[in-house]
Amino acid sequence: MGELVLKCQDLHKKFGKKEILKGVSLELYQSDILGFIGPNGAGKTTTIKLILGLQSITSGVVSINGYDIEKQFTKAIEKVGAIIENPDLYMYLTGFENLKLVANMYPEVDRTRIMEVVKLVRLDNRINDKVSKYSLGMRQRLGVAQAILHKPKLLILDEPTNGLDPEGIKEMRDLLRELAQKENMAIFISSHNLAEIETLCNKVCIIQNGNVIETTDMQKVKETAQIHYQFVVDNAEKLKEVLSYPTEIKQKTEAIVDIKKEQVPEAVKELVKNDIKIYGIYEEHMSLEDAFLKKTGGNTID
Amino acid sequence: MINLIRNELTKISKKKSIYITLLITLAFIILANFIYQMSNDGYSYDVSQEIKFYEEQLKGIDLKTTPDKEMYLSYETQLRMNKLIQKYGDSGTWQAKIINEQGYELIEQLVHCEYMGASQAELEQVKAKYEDFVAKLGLGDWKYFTEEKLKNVEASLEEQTKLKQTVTSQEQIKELEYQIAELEDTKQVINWRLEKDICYGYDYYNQCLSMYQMSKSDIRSYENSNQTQLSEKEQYENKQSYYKNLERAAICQYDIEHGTKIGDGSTAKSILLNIFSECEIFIIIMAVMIAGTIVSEEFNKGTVKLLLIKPYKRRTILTAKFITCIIMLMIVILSVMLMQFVVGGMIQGFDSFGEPTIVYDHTTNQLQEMGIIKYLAMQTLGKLPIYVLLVTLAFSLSTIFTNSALAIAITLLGSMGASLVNAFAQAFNLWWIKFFVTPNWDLTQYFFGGLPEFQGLTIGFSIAIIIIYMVAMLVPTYITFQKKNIKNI
Repeated sequence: MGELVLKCQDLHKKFGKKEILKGVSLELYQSDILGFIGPNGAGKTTTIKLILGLQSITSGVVSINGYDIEKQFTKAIEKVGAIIENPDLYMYLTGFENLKLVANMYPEVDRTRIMEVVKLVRLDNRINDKVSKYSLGMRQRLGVAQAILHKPKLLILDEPTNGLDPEGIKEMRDLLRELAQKENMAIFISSHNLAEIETLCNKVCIIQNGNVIETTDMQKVKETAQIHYQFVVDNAEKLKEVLSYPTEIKQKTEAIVDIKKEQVPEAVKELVKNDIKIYGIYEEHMSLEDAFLKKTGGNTID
Repeated sequence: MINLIRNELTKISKKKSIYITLLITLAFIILANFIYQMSNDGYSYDVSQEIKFYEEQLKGIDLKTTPDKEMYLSYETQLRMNKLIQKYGDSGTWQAKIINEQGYELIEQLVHCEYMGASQAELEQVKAKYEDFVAKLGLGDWKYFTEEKLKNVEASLEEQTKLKQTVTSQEQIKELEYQIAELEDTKQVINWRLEKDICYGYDYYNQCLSMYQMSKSDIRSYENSNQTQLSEKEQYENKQSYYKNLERAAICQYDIEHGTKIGDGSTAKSILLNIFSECEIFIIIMAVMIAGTIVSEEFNKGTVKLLLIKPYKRRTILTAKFITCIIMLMIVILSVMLMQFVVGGMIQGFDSFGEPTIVYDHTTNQLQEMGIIKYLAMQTLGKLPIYVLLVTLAFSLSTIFTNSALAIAITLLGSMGASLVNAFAQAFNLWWIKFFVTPNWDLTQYFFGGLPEFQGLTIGFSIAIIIIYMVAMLVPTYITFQKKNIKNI
């Protein structure tokens, strides 16, 4: 485990009487990629804005690289790059001019670094075009470019796949994986869809109604997510009586059976023996959210 | 900080709106110079049109039945006068001016004699006089008429001087002295006309001569009047116009004696010197457009988040933006001046820039010569509080409400309403208006010993008021920006 980059301690945020965050705590270490998952309105963007000092914290502490975001803002934010909601770009400027503006604000970033990053996000061909002519995917990549220009230790991305087509999502995933390997930074990705970033993250944190449900390793979640079989039969009740495996009745004629692949013929034999008519058997993956909830014992996410 | 200001300037320089406004300003300056150039040709009217008009009028009136004979006669006089003018060309000739000045009376007499049945001898006499006048005009020498006038003035001067020696009462002597001084001025003007060879007409030097005489007369009547009976406000207003007359008379005199055109507001140079009254609205619009959008646009487009997660304090970012607005204001002022210099010079010729820059100093009651750069710098410095205050207002509104349209509209309305507020305060004599910003923000009113628009203001007081208003606008702006929660955009 690398050094601690981001630490949020019991964050609360109130807008008037409405409490948006009810105690969010999380930790992020170097070269971790954390998926911050929750439905719309759960408090993902608010959490990010508190971390970045864009909104005042009602109570709780955010520290980045050991600096308190409220008390030592400039020190804390120095090694942070972020895209919040949509990439913040000046549409009337070219891609290069946008990057130059950001570079001017960090004394250590020079022209070679800009070109290096441009190459990394594969915008070399279009970097001198106006951003207003860019596609959404290109804008996202330019947004990433300006967020990583100053080699941050912490990269925060709010819904980086939002509005992208599957092609764009894949591109973004590849880019981020490359970044984590090459630049060795901690990445904090928020998303409302765990499946989109499951292959990317090594840690996952689910937030719901302003509460963090649990933070855990992705590997553990994946282990929980096994394969199931869906049986379509004439009588699901009877099936449950006959089979000795854990079974969940979905409908009158459908049941989910928790068995391994090699156990399937055995089960079929048993059913036939008991005169149960089999219309179909389908392999089914458990969704990561379901697996996660199963593991944490929580309810549905939405 | 310097990096931030450089970034802001880059962003502004890439926007089209500022260039469009600059182009419109350029078009306006070109137009203004053309208009001034044309009006230089002087005042003139269409004589044949006039003749047609009076002929029409006369057709409709029958002298025998009309109750208003005077009207008929005056139309007839006008008709004849214009016909005489037409003989020498259009209304701009020196003959036309002389005919207007001296011929009208003669023609009127003649018409009266002809239509009202005067004796034969009288008619003959008038006719002879008139024909003599026309014959003199025919000689083609305007100086003749001037010399005649000079003789008349000298004669009456002599007469009055003699009369003065005979009277004893203090009051009468004063009265006579007053008249003598008036006559001396008239003589001076006539002498100038002869000396400087200023032909009758409508050009700048003719205006100078009449303006000089008028101002002198006003100055004298102010100096001889008893102001103590008037209300304080009237006294002050009279003093203000007295100051203006002093200045005007001195500048007219200088121009006539030196053959310059300093008092002529239409030369390329005087437009440049008066750039702040000629192009004020453009300077304000451009500066306010920048200041009113510089913060709110970042909020509206969401780019403010990009800015606020950089390693700079929020107050540093805001200060950089404010300084950028002031820098842009200076750039706008300089470019408008430059445009007038180039455009004015190209349209009207650059010769006027070679003339000295003259101002009237009320503290010494003398004309003072200074360099054009120094004069423009002083004017800019004096007018700067107006623009800086307006820029600050737009900037503050833009930051507090994050609404560009609101910030720009309120500021522009405010700058337009300023003169209205001043006029209102003048009309109702409101004492507390001096604590308001608009009577104070133009520091040029104090320059060269000038009288401020409102009585009792001093330059120190004005500067204090300006600073108080600046602080009152900037403090809430900084607090708001510092505390602002960046909501979802």
